[in-house]
Amino acid sequence: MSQFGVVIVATTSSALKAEKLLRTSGYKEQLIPTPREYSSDCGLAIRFNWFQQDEIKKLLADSGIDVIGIYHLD
Amino acid sequence: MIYLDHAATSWPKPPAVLRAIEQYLNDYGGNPGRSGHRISIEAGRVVYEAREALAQLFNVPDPLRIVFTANATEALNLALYGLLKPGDRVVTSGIEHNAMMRPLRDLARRGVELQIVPCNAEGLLDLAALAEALRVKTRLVALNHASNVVGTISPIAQAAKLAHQAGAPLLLDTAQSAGCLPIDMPALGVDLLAFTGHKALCGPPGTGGLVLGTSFDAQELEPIMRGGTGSRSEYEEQPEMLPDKYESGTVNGMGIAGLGAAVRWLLEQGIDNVRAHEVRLTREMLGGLAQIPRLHVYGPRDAEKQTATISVSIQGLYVSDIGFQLDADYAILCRVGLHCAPAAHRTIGTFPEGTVRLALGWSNTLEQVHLVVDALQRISSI
Repeated sequence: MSQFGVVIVATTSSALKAEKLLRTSGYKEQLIPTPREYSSDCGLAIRFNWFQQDEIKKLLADSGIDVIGIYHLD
Repeated sequence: MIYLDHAATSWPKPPAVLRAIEQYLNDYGGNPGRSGHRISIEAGRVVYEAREALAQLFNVPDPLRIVFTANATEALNLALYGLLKPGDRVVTSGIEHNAMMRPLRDLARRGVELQIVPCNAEGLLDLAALAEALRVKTRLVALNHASNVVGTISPIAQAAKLAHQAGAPLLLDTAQSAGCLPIDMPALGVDLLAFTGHKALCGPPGTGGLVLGTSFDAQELEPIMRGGTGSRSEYEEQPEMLPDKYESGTVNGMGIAGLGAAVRWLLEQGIDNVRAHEVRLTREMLGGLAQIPRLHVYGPRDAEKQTATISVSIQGLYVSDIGFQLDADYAILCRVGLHCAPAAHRTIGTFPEGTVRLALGWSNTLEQVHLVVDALQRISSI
């Protein structure tokens, strides 16, 4: 498994919203093209450091962003 | 040159707007929200930041409830055609622009019941008549915030209260108010808000949008266009998520980049300061115009009760001749005629002759106001 996790959201606007939220909260994230195996809901996904998954999951849940899934990248 | 046509479109635009458009086209004009590469992401980010600025301006917590359209007309069409079905009843006012009135007349032809609540000769909505109209079950109340002819500011908070008591959401046309009047959607009780980017918001033409207030359930509103959104690409059905549900096809990225810069510029200036500047200009103009014999001013004639848009006529002169003289002899640019608002002109008693509309804005000065008053004084004394 890699050091990265990925957040899958419904729209690119949500991806940008989530990216901004993570960045302003001090996380190192990166918008990437959504890996095909997860979903093609939206062309953009947010990659983050998997060791921060718990805090990030909570932050996203509190924000009301429509997250479809959070996965550990291979 | 004195530009007095801000109600048609604001001019000039703040320099930040031009810079943002140029930067968009030069540096990161990928397709926003479609691809995963850096200039597509950057374009998407610029569009998202414009949503954020507008959400702040209208006091909407979620930027994804800002839906971009080409203009206020498209936003009103989306709200009206997306919401109203045959058998529904809609209530509007006698001071509306054709952007509201034409879709409503068409819907009325298709079986929607349309009731038009009268306004007085100053263009002010009759709240008692609105309350009376809302005794019958109503699907939507659709009103303009400020008249594009006489600048009259509608009593929106009271109208929204009446609409909500009757179980109807309020759709507000802010083509003449967004950017020059403070608009707090939840405080005013506005459920749906149509705006244009190129008037007092100081953005470029080809931008506008519909804001879905937190109070409004997007399930109730059908899209009027469907197509590619960059999301849920494996499905051939329109997605339900905001803003994609209503934003099919590539958005006007460069225009929205300019609009975002414009709104941030306005927020820096402070809408209250913009308003105070325009009230000062309007008061000065109204004071000067009142001294001109044969010149008639329509509307509230009170800077606090209107936007910086003033309509006048001069006894014995055609409005088209006045407009021509202002342009040719004084380089004063304004718009004469009916201003796409026959209902409003009927209400104020100037149909079909129309008026000379002196529409002040952020870029005008007190000195210009004095020059305009002098010019009209001379034209009226010939």
